[in-house]
Amino acid sequence: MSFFLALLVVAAPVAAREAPLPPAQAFAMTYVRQGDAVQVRWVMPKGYYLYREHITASDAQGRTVKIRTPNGTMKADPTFGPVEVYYGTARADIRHKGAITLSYRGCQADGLCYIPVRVVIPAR
Amino acid sequence: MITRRHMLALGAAATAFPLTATAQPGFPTLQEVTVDPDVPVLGNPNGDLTIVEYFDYQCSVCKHAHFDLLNIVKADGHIRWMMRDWIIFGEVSTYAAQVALGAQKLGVYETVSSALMRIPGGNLNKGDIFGAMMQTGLSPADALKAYRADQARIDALLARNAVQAEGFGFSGTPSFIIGNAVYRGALSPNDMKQAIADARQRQKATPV
Repeated sequence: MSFFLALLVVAAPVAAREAPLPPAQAFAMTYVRQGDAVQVRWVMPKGYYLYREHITASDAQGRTVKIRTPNGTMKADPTFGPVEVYYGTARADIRHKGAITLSYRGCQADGLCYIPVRVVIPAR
Repeated sequence: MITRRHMLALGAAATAFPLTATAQPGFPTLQEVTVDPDVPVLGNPNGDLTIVEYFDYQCSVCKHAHFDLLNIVKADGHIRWMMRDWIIFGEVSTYAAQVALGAQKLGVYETVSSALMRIPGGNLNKGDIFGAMMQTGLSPADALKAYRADQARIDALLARNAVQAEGFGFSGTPSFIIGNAVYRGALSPNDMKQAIADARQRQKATPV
């Protein structure tokens, strides 16, 4: 196989934007569970955001579990209109007895829209 | 030892350094990625440089990047741009891909994919797609009919795209292969032009 036929990861001489972080670093998620109450918190580096409408939860049977999230920031996009997002930190409150599957997604501004992340929060 | 992550991090901060590259075990081959007659091609099908994009119609960053790259490709005139749908945002993205790939069968892929890329927002519904299609002169029903007539081939393509994207370990969209180099995430127009020039330089230095 010639050199050119190998696909390469390139340390490119371009630098306007940082390379996208791995999802766990882009959207560092922690949670605290006390009985039925679950508090979820995310911390994001500068330049990363989570979509409010894409933070969702479901139970073990796949049924929607109610989730409370605070108002986010309206991200005004001249081309694509307003969208509600969280910069820096985000939180969600859930009250549910059993295991919860939490799903969320976000982007690196002008860089990458991440595959949705799904995390199972076990029952107490 | 320089890991893939290091290499990518270096990529973000290596303006003054010479190009550095390394092959990665487990990646799809360049031939698998760039030789595939089922993939829609924009730009010049006989161009001297191939760009492969993995994207999702519900990815807001993809939409921004699409029209920037379209301008670059048109101005260059010698770029072969392969559009690989990688469905990461669910059912509506699948529907959009089916409509677009059905339109490909009917010879109007660029018109339809551009219309889908112009839909506002990153959270689409089928009504949005219907509305966008109405501006193209092709109905979603006609595009879907063309998709269903060739469903096995198109579904296999979508599955192939996903396997490749996962093989590269991409975390999301858009992600690119430019020449023989892997780029995760969108590039600014200037960075994209530089990446294209770098790819041509590598091809010139080491022709196939």
